Amino acid sequence: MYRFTTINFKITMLVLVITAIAASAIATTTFYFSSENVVGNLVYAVALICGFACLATVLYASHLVKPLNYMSNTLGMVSRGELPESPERKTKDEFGHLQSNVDELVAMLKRNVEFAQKIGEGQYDTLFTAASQNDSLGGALIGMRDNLVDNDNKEKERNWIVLGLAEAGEILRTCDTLEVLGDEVVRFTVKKTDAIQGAFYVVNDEQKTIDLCNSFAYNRKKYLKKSFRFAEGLVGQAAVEQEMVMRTEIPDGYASITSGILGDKKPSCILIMPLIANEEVYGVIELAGFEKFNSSQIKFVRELSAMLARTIFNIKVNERTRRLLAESQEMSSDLKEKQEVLRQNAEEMQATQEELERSNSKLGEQIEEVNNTRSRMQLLLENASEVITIYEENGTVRYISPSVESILGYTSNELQGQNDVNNVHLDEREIYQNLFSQLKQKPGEQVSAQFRYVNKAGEYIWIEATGTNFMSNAAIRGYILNSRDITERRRAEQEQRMRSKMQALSENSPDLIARLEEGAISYINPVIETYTGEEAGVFINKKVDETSLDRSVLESWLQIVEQVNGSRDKISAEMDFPSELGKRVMQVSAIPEFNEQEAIESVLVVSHDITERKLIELDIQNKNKKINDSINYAKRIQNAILPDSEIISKALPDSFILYKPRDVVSGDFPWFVQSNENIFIAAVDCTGHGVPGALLSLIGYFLLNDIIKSRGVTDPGKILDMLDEGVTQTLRQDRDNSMTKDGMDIALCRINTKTRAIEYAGAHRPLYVMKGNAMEEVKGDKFPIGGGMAKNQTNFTTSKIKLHKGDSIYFSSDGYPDQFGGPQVRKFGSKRVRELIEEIHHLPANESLKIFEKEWEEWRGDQKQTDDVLLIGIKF
Amino acid sequence: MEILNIEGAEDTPKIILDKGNGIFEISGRSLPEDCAEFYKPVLEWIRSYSGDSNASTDFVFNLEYFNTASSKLILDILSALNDVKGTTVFWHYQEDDEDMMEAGEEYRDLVEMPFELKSY
Repeated sequence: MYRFTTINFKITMLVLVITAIAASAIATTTFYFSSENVVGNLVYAVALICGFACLATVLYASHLVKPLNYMSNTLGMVSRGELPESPERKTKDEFGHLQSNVDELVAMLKRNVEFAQKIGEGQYDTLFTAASQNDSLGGALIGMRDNLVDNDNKEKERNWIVLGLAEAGEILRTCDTLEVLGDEVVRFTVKKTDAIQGAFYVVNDEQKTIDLCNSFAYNRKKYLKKSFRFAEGLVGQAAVEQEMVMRTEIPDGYASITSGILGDKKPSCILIMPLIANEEVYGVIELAGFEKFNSSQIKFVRELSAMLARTIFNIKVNERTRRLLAESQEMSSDLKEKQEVLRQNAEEMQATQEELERSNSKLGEQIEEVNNTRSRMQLLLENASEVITIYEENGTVRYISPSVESILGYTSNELQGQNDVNNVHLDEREIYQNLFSQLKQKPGEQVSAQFRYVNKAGEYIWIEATGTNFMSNAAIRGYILNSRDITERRRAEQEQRMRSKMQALSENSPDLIARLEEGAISYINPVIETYTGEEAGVFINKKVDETSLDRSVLESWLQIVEQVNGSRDKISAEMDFPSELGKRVMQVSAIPEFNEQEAIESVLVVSHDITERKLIELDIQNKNKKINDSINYAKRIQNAILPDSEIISKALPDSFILYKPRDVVSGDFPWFVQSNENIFIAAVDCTGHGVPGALLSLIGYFLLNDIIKSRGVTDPGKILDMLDEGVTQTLRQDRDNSMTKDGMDIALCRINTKTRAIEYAGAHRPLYVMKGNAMEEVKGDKFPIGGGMAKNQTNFTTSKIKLHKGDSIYFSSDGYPDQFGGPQVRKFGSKRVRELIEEIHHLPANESLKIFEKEWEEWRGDQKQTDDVLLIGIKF
Repeated sequence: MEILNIEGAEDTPKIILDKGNGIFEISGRSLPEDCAEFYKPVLEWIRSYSGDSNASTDFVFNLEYFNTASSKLILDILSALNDVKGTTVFWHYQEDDEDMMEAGEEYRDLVEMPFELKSY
């Protein structure tokens, strides 16, 4: 500033001098002008002034121009980019100032150039300060340097990252498995980022976990925790958030809990980077260091992560592809082996088939031959009239010829494999079994047997079997039986035997036997000689009417044959037979004999001489008639002693007597006597029935009459006592050697019709009393009349009963309740009698009678009457 | 002793008297035309048996009907059995047949040997 001031002062002085000169010149001039001599003086003044001015100018100019030229040169050089050396001598005036300033400018420019040159050489750390605060060039140069340093740093970082990525890329390229990849990448990254430990996790797609693939620490592999679920621990967190996790504050024990890699020394920074590609997490890389990771390292890891993710993806794809390839290769090699085996097999088969075809065609010929033979055999066997059977040693049918179907009805299959001994009739089973045991004992010999064998229809047919033992024959090893149906033959044989038996029978029969065939006598037995005096031979093969037989015999025979032809059935008749022995009576049976067409071939006429029997029959008939007559006569006598029904109905108007003798005469009888107001009525049952019963009944009848009518006894018990005594005496049963045990049961009533008082005594018989609707049973004494003394016998009891109007009494012999019948053929029974009485006691007697009779008859049904029946009912 | 075996018929009971097997039984219906004749062999058999009887004799009556004449003969049989030592009479009757039950009771009262009534 000073310098500029100095130069300004000089210039000012210069200007002032010039000005003063100029001013004096002017003033002089002006003065001159002011005087009358002005023009000459003026010209002089001007010229003086000009000269002075010129001198001053020349003097001053030499003083000014020299530094100005110097500066002009210097500045011209500077402007051309040259930086001259500063001169040694400098003035101390403004121009010296100016000159030193120019020199300083040049020096500064030189420094700047030097600095710029250093920057250009990359020596950014060269000391350089700006010339002043306003030193724009210096400031710009420093700014430029700083920018260059910054750019250089960025370039270095970029290079470091790119280099790292390139190295990583190189590593990744060589890795074809996750294992190797993990190993290499962790080793590389740990080294590259100055970390101390590193771990590499890969997402397990199947398990949905993040699995530790490799870890690296101090150049050793570390395995702590191997697997994380998503969101589990920092690793899981980084994976699920798809964001890097960096921690510098690491609590104690953290490493072993949530981070997988840090077991022994606590790091100061952990960086966990998810490996993401296409927005998907493929793995996680975890790094731990003692220093905080800088931005370059983080950037590097981040960029590496994307690369790793893609690589993992590729490796996974490759691994899958490789696995598939390996599998497919394995399969294809497997297939190849199999194919080879198949091919060999096919070749062998081809060969075998060809061989087979050859033998087949050979076989075919043989088979055809065999088939022909077999069908011939089959036809023979089917149509044979014999059945051929091969039996095993144990009796099982191994083979049976098809002809069995036409002969026995079975198919071969039904019998084959069976033991058919049970088909043999029980009667011949022993014979059948014997056949086999004989075959066994005598190989080579033929053994025959006849037996019945049941066919499919269940009928027994006769079989003749001839057997041979072929056990030693290797082709057969069994018994062969040839069986024939001999039913017909046997029938014929039997018929023949029967015929001869019949012949013998006929020849020796006492009956006259003849066979009539088409009106001729084809056979007649020798008995004919007895009746005609002519031998049988005379009659045989003669027409009936050509023989010497009696006319009536001939006619009778022809007539009966005619009848047989009509009825096709046996016909019997009696006929007179005049003969040498006189007139005989014959029982003739004509029996038709049929031929196979069921037509009557002949009629056998068998005449049995019944002349003697006829006589006896006649005799019996006569005797029977006499007996019947006698009994019928007896019946008339017995009927005479029966009470008169008219009298009874007068005395007892509402009463009935059901009386059904079993035979013509009866052991039962009703007895009735009226004496004054007393009516005695009894049902008497003498032992036995028929004639002996009837005889006893007469004894009873007379004894009762005697006791009541003659002796006037009225007490029923007393009457029975006396009756018992009478019977015993009459039949002489009071003696020890008595032969009769006969007697009677009785129900006896004395009835006072006015007072309706009843007195009853019974021997083995009860009295049924209906009072109102209630039944009372008055049991009789348990001993009979007569029949010998019973040991506990006492006197008969009299029971007294008082009746009212509408009441009724019933008593009977045992024939009514003892009748057998009903659905189970049982006795009618006293119980049923009582029930019947209870049911119908209110009916009038005549109606009751019908019902009692009907009920009893219906009960009896087809059964014969057990005993005489007698039932008496009286209604008051 | 020979076995007495009489086949039953419509009017006559089945009788079997078999000392060897200890079977003595009269069963069925008894209404023969001639009772005395019919039961004669029975009585004879029992009389002969009484001299050579088993230690015990279970004599069974299983009758569904007998007529008055038969009743006398049954009493004779019971009398004859009285002489056979160790005899027990079993009188069977159908449950609802009161006549046969009463007849049994009557006979039981008349004899002095063990006499049991059994319904079926």
